[in-house]
Amino acid sequence: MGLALVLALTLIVLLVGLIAVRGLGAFWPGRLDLVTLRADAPRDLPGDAFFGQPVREEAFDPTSADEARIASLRAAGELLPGAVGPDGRPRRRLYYVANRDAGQEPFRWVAVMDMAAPTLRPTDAAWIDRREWGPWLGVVEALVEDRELPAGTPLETDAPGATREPVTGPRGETHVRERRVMPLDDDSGPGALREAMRAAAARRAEIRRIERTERIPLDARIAAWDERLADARLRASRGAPPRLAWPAFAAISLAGAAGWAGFALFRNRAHHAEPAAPARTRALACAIAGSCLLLWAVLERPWHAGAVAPEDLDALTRAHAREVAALTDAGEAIDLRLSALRAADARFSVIIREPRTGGFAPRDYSTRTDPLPVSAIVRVTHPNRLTLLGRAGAYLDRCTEFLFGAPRNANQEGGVWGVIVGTVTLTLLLTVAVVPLGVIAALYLREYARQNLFTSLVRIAVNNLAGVPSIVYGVFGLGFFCYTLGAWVDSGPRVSAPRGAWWLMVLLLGVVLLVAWSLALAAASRAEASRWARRGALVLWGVCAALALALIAWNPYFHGFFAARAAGNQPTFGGRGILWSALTLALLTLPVVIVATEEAIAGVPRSLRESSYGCGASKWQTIRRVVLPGAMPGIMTGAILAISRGAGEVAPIMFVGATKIASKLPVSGEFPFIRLEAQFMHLGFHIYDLGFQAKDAEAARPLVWATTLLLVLIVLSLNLAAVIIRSRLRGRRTGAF
Amino acid sequence: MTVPDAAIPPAPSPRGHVRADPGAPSSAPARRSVLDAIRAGEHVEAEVHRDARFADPVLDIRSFCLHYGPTQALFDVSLGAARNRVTAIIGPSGCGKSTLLRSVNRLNDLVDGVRITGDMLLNGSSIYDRRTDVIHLRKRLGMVFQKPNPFPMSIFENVVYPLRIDGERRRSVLLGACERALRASAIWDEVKDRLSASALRLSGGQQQRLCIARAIVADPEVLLLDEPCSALDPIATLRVEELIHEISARYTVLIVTHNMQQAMRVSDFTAFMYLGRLVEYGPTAEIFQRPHLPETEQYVTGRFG
Ligand SMILES: Nc1ncnc2c1ncn2[C@@H]1O[C@H](COP(=O)(O)OP(=O)(O)O)[C@@H](O)[C@H]1O
Ligand SMILES: [Mg+2]
Repeated sequence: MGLALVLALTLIVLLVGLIAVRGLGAFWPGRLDLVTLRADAPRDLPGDAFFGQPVREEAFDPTSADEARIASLRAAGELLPGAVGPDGRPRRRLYYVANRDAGQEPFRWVAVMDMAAPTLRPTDAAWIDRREWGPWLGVVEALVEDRELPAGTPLETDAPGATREPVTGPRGETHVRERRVMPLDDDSGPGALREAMRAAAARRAEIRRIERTERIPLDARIAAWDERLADARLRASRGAPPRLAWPAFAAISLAGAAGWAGFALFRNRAHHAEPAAPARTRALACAIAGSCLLLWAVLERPWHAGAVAPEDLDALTRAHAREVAALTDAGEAIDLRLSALRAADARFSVIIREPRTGGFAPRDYSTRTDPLPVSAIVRVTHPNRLTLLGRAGAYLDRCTEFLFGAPRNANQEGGVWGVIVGTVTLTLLLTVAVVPLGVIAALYLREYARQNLFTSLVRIAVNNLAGVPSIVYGVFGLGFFCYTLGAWVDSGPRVSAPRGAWWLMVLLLGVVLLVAWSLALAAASRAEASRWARRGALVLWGVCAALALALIAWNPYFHGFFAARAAGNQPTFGGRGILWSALTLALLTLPVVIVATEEAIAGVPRSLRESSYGCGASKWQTIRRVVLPGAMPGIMTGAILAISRGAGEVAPIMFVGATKIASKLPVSGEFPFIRLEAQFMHLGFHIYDLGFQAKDAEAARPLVWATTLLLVLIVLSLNLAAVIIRSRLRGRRTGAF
Repeated sequence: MTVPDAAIPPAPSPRGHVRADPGAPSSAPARRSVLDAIRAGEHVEAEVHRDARFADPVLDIRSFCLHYGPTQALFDVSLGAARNRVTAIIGPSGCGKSTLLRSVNRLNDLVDGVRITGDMLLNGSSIYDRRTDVIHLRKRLGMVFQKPNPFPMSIFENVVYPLRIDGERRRSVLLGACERALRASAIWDEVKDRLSASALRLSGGQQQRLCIARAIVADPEVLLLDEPCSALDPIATLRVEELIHEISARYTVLIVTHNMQQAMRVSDFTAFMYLGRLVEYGPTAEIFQRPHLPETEQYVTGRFG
């Protein structure tokens, strides 16, 4: 027993410790070695020197050739100290050499005996983080500034480091380009580079601002016009009479409300335990029903949802053409400003020497023409030059970028802000969905439902739900939420009932409602008949619910909220998205909440309930004021456990909405504030993606650790919150604070 | 579900009646013991003193029978509680005292499988009539249980709970009622500085007085106390007894107790129950000093039970 406990604890500490050490260490700037190879060393790449960040060193089993080489080196007295370990086996080092676009693997094993000299740590070795293609290791030699001069300018110049040459632009025009190369030596250099980088960052911010505040809204307006036109076309082609969806929905809602009221009345009478709902409650119910209808009406806009006349369509087409042309012109003006900024960006670049080839990190390695633009550089660090303080600064800088930055280089670098936001939003949505649902279900099961075969079956089903593999939920979510429910929301029922049949069904619903209601009343007023009347009424309520559901599902007057976009093969809710992911996870975690809540409710002592009833409280008042507060610690614990499980779950959301790169956050500063239909990034999926799907899994490993640490921190802090809340509320309940 | 049904008469015992003779001397050897008869399941007419037959009782229990599923817990109990008097119910444990008390505010409705016959009247209105609103009925009664059971809320919220569920929100009204109830239950001085503290941090005796305050805050017509002192120490018991004595000036109290001295000290009338039947009911002084039945005398002097 004790041993098992110790083992379990050790494993946990090891797990968390490993993740913490690796995750926290991911951004620590390591030193760069200049490795020089012997001329006779076998090599897989040309060149005889490179910069590398040592990853680890190990002994390896030498081949016979290796042994021969060791022997000859030793004979010549050229064997480097450390080339052979104390156990007599040769040693080798793994270097991270980056410079991926130079055509090399980012990691490289080098046997120590193949090195020409002990490694050096030149102070000018720089680690250059780029926006694309990953880091580059080299020496920043010079800053290059290009200027366009008019065509007639003489080609000679006496400015230091400047050269002029005629160039031909993309449209055949010719002009003169002056290129000034400013060497970055140790004293003047970094300052000039920093200045250039700051200017580039300012331009970048300006570009982003223009894009965000001008270009994207403009595109959205164009898209809105397109959509309006497409919608009108769709409705014109459908030739439908004015949609009756609105009155139909209203009728169904009213029927539902009547049914509910009847049911409530019936329960009150039957149980002698509820007072007539106070006026406030009734008003609240009416307000909720009313606002639902209103919301629906606003969304559906039934008053202009009718068929579109051809002349209206023509007018709309003309307006569309006019508006879109105007908007496109405005867009071109914006694009001009953007391209001016980008041209300014292109003027500044740096020459970075690489020891292996002696060449520079080019803008485009395949052509090897231009040097690396300054705007493509995120940051330049000289790890060998840094003091401890400087190192810590660089570390913090990288950590900040990791937490709040956007991803770069296919997620392998940069930040995970979008991922964090996606995860948090998903978790919040999940909470909003699962907690009320679970608590209500548990309340019903424990407080309202009779304990019989049916409730036992429900309990068994709920408990089994907890054991279903999570991937199954993913498949279900995709099939049901995205492709069925979502498609219905987008473009209405795929197959709708014939109108006559549908109205017949409405009639049937009315009749069944009436019968159910009168049965319920009979059950309430005549004690002898009550049992069968009550059962009959219950069955009929079930039939009503099914009928109402069918009426909504096959409503022939409902053509979806986003029909035009869906017709253009652009699903809104009919595809993968954060809402469906949250609902899928809610389903997955529902059992936890239900079971925890049921237990918590059962734990509230009977005597408390009785004294509440003794004070004249109704059932609901007792539940709300005594049972729920008493059960709150248990409910909270269950809810947080469920949420933390949901937050860490990856398999289902891979199906229903998580994506590798989401260009937009699922939350926004504009009206709905949350884009329920958007795909999103998620920490768990991010880890999977980085670890197994990255171009370069080895290079992404530090980021995998850091992201894992983040996820573990989030889940652990949720669990910790559960523990704290539970103990605090417990303390309050027993008075033992 | 409790379904009152006047159509079913209280089942008479097949073995005939035993009529206790009020005038008989307390130790007639030929007479069969009333308690033996009850044990044998026979119907026994309760001995009700003339002074305990009220013309206008606040609470009038009439031929009340109660079944918990197959077992019957109360047999044909009839008893009236006088206005502004304390009525004690005594009897060995399991004789149905709590059941009777809980039946008054229909808490037994919450127990599955309870059936009742007979009726009770509260100030003339039926308690078990189908048209009676249970919630409203319970608001007219206050109840205190054996174990102090304050809600997990502040002292203030505990006391005003009955008003809150009535929808009262005016702070001044709540505060006034709270103070009145706490003063009446003699705990105001102890808690007036910490009304917002959790009620669970009070001592047992304080908690019980708090529960009494909660029970009287809405001015009930009858106060039901089910062994209110059995979980308390002697000093707290004394305080609660004084309290009962004080509030009986304004309220009608029905108290269940195990403790003869307590019944003697606090009550004006005493009912002796045995195995679900009322045996003797009369003014406390008579029940304890000159009971009509020898069995009652044996019980109150502690010679059995
Ligand atoms: N909820 C219940 N279900 C079944 N039987 C009960 C229930 N409550 C009490 N009883 C039975 O009814 C009888 C009277 O109990 P009670 O009124 O609690 O006695 P007491 O006089 O000690 O308060 C006992 O025999 C008890 O077992
Ligand atoms: Mg009892």
